[in-house]
Amino acid sequence: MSDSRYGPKELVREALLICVAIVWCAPFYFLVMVSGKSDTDVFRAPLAWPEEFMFDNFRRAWAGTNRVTLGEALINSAVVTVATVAILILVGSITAYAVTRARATSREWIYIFFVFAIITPWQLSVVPLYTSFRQMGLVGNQLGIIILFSGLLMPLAVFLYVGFLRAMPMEYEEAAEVDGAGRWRIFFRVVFPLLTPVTATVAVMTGLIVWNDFFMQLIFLTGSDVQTLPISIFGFVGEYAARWNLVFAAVCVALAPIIGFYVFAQKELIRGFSGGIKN
Amino acid sequence: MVQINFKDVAKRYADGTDAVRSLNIDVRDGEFLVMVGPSGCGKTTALRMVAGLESITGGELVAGNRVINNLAPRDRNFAMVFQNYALYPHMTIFENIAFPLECEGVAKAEIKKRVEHVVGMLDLEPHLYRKPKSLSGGQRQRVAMGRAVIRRPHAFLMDEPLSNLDAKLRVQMRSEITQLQHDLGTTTLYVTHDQVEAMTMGDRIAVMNKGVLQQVGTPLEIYERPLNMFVAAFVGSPSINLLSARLERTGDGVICVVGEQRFGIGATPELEAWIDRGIVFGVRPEDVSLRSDAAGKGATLKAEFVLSEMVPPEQLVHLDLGADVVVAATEEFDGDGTPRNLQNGKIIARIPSEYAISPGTGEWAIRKGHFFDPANGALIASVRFDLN
Repeated sequence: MSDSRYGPKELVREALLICVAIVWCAPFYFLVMVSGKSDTDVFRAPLAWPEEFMFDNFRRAWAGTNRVTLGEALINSAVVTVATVAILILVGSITAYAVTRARATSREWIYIFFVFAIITPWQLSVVPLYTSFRQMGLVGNQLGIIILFSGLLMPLAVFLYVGFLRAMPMEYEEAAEVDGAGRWRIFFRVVFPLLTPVTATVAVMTGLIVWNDFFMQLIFLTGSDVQTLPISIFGFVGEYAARWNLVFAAVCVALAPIIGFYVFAQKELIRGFSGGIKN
Repeated sequence: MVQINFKDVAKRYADGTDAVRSLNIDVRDGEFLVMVGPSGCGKTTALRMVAGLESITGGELVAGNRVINNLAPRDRNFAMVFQNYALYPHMTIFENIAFPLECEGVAKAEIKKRVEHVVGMLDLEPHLYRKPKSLSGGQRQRVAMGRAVIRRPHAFLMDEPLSNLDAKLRVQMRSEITQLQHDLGTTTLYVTHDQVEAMTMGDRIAVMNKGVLQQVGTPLEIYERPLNMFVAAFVGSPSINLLSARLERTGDGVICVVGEQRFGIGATPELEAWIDRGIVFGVRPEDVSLRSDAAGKGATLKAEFVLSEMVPPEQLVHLDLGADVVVAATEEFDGDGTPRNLQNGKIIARIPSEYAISPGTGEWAIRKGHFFDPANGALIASVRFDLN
């Protein structure tokens, strides 16, 4: 069997990878188990198999917290995420295009400015941001949080787009220029479609950050009727009692769209990370 | 259509490099002009300046009596074919070809009509709704041509459009492009480093080197009467044989001394001033032939047969003149015309392949030669020996 490619080495490697996969799956197991437990079971035997799977937990979780149902919170999260990602893609790509293709030497400084913005922690700016946003009436509504996230994540989007654009040959743009296209047409008809792989990367990376963010949404949206999923879920953790089974059930609901999206967009996502244009 | 005039056009980059120096060419209306030269000679830069993709740092570029130095590429109405075609990878062939019309805001129905016409002309119908990546090199080349042709531009600008094709396809596309240009009568500026392409395609050829225009002329003029050593050596394959020589006056007239060998060159007034001075004597391989084959008196050189490369219907015969007299086109010379570095004594003759050459030293006739000034490489005179 010397010609077989499946030897003991491969067996060990495979077994090891299966173990790693199991470890990775463990949190999901607990997530589903706990979400099906009764209020008392949660504390009695948190890791055990539930005696009876309480589907009712999902109904109770769906009712939500702070007068906002989980369904509404889901929609709020989706609106904030989609709008933020759309702004990041549109403004980020145009900004990056200007930063990479401008002839002015200031473009390097603008790029450095964006890079610095990435490494500056958001938390540093929370207090001044909150104060000025409240003065402008941007606290407790969707517009405010969309503007906030767009601003905070713009450096990341620009950084990703610039990296891709720098490696992109100028020829397509030059051809379009000679063909008679103006700046905007060159961008939207030629450059932007070629950015698809990195646009997918920007969408997924920033989308996940916005979708999962808890800190900013807690500060800017708590108590409002546009609260998003993380805030809704946090509502099950009260001052005196935390209903972990409902928290976990709500997390299951929150996870579903993300997993669905990942399965759907996996190929684009990988291509975006590996980069390159194939003509 | 339009004529394009380079008037002292120059390009100097920010780091001080001169890519193009004081270029003067008049591309006539409807003409196919090929710019040729080794890599880095400035030909592509010159073409890109015409397209508007490169700024002009000196002189004037005139198209149809209008200075276009500062005109945006989109306002020049030139069509360009790039070396890598630059087809938009996300668009279908139809969209690629239609793009220039889309930019002009032509109505959809008209676009469809014109694309169908062009596609028919270029044999691309079966691929109309495919993406460029699924086409072969030759087909992509045709799409690039289609995109250039569709707009009926003032001029075509082509930047080595055939260099990515295999040899056979290149020959085929060469004639297709020439035919197309001939049919449309559109002024064409074509850049290549391939002298065969230049010779076969161009109405006229502009030879460039190190940013300087060396000569403009028809392919025959360039070949028969190269204005300097660079042009003589660049055009023609195998390259011209350049030999270090001296002119002397004897009782019989002026003679040319190559190594220890000497032959008469007859009365040539241009060469009078060069007597007793070093000079470069250039002779093309096809102007060297077997002694018995040469008509008239001619000039002869004794050379030893080294080897023969058969390229029917010709053969390339390598000969050794027995003394180191061969110089390179880039040779440097001392003030008195003595080369600093002689290479060897090997020259090449191109004769019909059916001739058998006996080994050993034989007499070879020279039909025609060019004399160059060693100091600046300029042509002094071209002499036909078989007429003397």
